[in-house]
Amino acid sequence: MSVPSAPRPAWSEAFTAGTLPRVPAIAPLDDRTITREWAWGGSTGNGIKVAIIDSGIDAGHPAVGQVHGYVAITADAKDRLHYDERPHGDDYGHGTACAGIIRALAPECELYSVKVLGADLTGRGIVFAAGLRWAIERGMQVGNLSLSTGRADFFGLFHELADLAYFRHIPLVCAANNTARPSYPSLYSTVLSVAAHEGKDPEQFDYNPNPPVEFGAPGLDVPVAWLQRGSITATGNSFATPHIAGIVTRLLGKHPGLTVFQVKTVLRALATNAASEEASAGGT
Amino acid sequence: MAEDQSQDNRHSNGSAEDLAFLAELRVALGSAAAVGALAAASPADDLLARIVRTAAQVIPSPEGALFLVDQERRLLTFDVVIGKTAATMRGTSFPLGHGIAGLVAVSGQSIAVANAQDDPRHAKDIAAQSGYFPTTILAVPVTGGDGTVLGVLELLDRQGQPAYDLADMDLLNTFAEQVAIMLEHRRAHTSLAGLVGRALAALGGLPAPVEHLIRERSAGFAAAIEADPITRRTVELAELVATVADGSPAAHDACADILRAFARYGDAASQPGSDLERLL
Repeated sequence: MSVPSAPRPAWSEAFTAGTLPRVPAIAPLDDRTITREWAWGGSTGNGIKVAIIDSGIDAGHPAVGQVHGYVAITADAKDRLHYDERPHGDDYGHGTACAGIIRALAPECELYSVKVLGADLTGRGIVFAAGLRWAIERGMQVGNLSLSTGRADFFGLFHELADLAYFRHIPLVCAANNTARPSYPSLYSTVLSVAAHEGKDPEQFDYNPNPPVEFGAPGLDVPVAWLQRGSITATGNSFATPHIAGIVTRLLGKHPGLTVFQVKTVLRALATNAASEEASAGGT
Repeated sequence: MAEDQSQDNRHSNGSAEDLAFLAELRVALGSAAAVGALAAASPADDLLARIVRTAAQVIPSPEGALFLVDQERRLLTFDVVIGKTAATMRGTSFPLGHGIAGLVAVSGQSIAVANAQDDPRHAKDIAAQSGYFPTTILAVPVTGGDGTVLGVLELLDRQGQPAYDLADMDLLNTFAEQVAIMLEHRRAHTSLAGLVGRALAALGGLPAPVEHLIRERSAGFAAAIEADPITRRTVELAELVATVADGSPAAHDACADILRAFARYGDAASQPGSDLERLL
């Protein structure tokens, strides 16, 4: 029943135009050296394995195309985990929306659906953790996590998994939660935490110099793939997250083997609010 | 349940002191359950409705609802509903597994939709039940202090602008935090298992597996108390008293007089052949 006494962290508020400060372009780690062309010019994310840890993916949706692999994870009454690697769909539309955004940014990446969101709230935390562990152990190269848990008793487990991913050079792109309550794994320093900003360009993103939420990407009125091969206009950090995941996928498609800290360095250099004067004058 | 109790007794080595302590604890917790029933009366419910209505005024929306996660964790129930759908929807449930509210509950993420009428699935769910087909939706999770999802707070059909924006989302999240506090306040008084678990956990500094074991055991213990016939009768009476206390002062006074009379006759009634027994 305790209420956090600290001021409410302003996750997506930080990215509001007028609030977000410009961050200094620090040569040579800025857009004059690390150009967009260098970073992902010409890349389609070819062959990069992206795990969408979510509600499933509808592979029949035209915005998604092929899904390379599946696992649906559930927990029974005794917290025993069950893994089903047969193809599955998406009852919520959420995972499909994320897949569509990533597919649009990295057309030749390999999408994997790790279905951890279902019709049940019990076992939610352990199923989510199991999905993340599966992705790490199966050699995924990017994780999209448009979900989170607030359970303090999962802090340690997710921290360990986030560290494991970090040391294996797997960027975990996680949606911030937008409340004053903790949300894991989005608050860890080892992940790329994302909140929504009001921009519309899918290839423009911001860097927040006051973390824990480090990146802002389009998350307001985003047209997304949805249920029954349809589409919907949606708002939330859930939809900003795959924008960053898609860009990271393109980056790794051109420069496989980058560490997570290198990925973050590139993103900071190319953030809209970190543009050097030259780049701003040239009009990126 | 009796089996669990005797197992507990065995685990405590069955010493006379331990058994006496357990008996006292049982009585104390039974009383706590009764007090909880009294405290759980309408004031908390009124405040919840007020929070939802305020949210719907501040973020202008003609319709809104607070869904609560059902105990079994597979349902969402309309706890507070405002607007046209209030009368028909209050108290109805629908399964998790699809829909915006369900998605918010399982993902822990806030979501807004600008063109819900284009969502092919929505028509089959709540909208079909309620007869109300929203165009714009804003839904945020209501999360307890321990991180569990207690429910979902939802507003429909934003007025004054085409759809809900990020500022609306942040603002509704603030209201959701208030709702969470109220729900936990209400829950603390009605859940004996929660009360026992929290009391024991307040000992503090326990390793997670031990705390988990204590919560499990205390839930079983509390369930046994709540199932006990005397406790159930006490709680039932307490709930009736709460209803009367909510009414007029005259009704309250009459009820108090009747209860005092019964209490005085209580001992007499337990004697066989008493006047009261013959009367009844």
